[in-house]
Amino acid sequence: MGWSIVQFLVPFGVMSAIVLLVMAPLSAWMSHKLRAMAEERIGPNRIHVWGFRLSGVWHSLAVMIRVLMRQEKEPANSERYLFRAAPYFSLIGSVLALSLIPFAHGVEVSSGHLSFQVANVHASVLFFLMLNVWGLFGIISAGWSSNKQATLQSAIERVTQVFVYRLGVALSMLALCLAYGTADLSMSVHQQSHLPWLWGAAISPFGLLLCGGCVLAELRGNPFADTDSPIRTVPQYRSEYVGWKSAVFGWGDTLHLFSFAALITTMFLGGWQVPGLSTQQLERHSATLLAVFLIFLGGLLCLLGASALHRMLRPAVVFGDARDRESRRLFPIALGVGLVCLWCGIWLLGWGWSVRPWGQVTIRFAFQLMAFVGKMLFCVFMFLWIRLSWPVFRSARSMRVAVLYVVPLGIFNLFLTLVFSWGVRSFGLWE
Amino acid sequence: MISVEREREKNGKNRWFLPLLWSLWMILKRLSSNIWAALFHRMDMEQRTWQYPEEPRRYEERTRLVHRLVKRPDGRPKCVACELCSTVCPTQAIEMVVGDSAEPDVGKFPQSFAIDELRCMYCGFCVNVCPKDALRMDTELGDLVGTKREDLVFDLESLLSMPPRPGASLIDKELEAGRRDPEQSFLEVTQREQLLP
Repeated sequence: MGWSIVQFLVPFGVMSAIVLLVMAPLSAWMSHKLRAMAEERIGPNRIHVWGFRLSGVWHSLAVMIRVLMRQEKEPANSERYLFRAAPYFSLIGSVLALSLIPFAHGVEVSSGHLSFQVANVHASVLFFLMLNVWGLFGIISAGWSSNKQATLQSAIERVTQVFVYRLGVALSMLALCLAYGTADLSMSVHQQSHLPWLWGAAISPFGLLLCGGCVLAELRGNPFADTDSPIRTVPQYRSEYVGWKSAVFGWGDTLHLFSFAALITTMFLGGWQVPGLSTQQLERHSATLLAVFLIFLGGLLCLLGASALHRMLRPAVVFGDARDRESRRLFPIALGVGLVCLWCGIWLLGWGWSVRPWGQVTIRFAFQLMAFVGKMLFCVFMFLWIRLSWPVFRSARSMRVAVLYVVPLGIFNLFLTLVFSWGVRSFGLWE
Repeated sequence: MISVEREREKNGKNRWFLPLLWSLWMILKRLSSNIWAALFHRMDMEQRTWQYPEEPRRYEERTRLVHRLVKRPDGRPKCVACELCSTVCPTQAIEMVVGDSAEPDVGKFPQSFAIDELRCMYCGFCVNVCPKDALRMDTELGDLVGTKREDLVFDLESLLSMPPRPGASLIDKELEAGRRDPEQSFLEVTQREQLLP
């Protein structure tokens, strides 16, 4: 296997794992559970594996199985092949765009440089926005091929909205590109450095608000939802889709959300940078950091074990199956692993042990990956929070806001950010 | 006369963003308190919530659910196959075949009796019209589940074997209180109470 294949496969594998194994189930779970918590419900808590309900994480898997078993239907006289391809069009743009995002600092190994970015493209900010537009082909072909006037009209409305709000995203990105002096995603992460007051969020906070609002409008989440009544959960343009294809549309929306969360993380929140710790510092103090992390993790696990103990002593509901024994099993496991983590962390702190170079690089990589995923999850949480809190705006009103305010505000933000970053630079804070 | 002073006019400024920020703050408070409760006081949350499949649904005594045919003391159906129920049924959910009985005390009897519970709209006309109190809708079966349509067409045997809801039904209470004459048709009772003052 050649080195170039390794250079491709390693970041590709890690990025797929982040999106498929971490982000997708966690964000589905977050959206269900947070909505339940805001509405005073328990939310998903039924499915269990060996008694472990884990607050309903398994439900994401169950939904996947249920969707695979569904019956497929197609409208009469539809454009069959376009109709079948449309969900995948909406999926593919966001997947490709995610390949442009760097998720850790590159590594120098004996065979050469290994960069943690699937595709290192010049002007990747522009390329990112361009690839995301592929989703529009999915929307418009779904609207056209369903052979229905309502779907086509809804698709045209949605595409128009995405085009207009994409201008806002592009203008706020342009301001940051000018401030950083580069349109390359990995270069702008390096430019932002590990100091949070040099990140995009600090340099152009107004741009962050503008970009976030435009992304919300583009995704047509709750404040900008185009479903015509609260019981409809699916927009009109894909109303002819059922079963697997409808689910693929939903995953397209989710991936669209992830890709924009990754873009905001990379341009505004310092990408993979751990706040306050540069790559060199991470590698130098890797043993201490690992110890602190272990102590933190152990504390969290002990908290979980304590809550399981609380529930074991005062059980609430008798289900009559393995779920009754959940807290009895969780309590010793969580508390035991947590205490072991705490003990290892304290032992590591006292030992003052030196880590070999490959170990330093691995620990540094893990920390940067965790910082990246954590920031992405934070962005997803912000979107969910706004969706839970705000009422739905009228569709016509949101289009008017787009035309009248978004572009002027974007240009205003451009000048604001330029003046501010020039000030920061001239006062010597940039160094 | 009521004069309504709008928020905007009172403040003199358009402060539309204040409720948006306020709702963000309220939802955050609600989320954090409920997450803490889920970790340490989950029993409250689970006790407040009705655990549906484990806890059966409780019905009012007047709730009309799936039908049952009432038996005589010797186990035969009370039904005399007068076909009033199938005539009055607005959705034509009841089908019966009338048979002539050889027994001296029974004139006619239902050879077959089928109620399509998917057609039925639970109006209760069949119960009210029955002259012999042979048909009632006081079973416990409220959640109908079947994989085929035929599963939900109940025949004579299944209607006879359907158990009544535990606890006295409304009809039994009225019979006990002497407000209903067991020999009299419920239709007549209704007519006496409602039509003839």
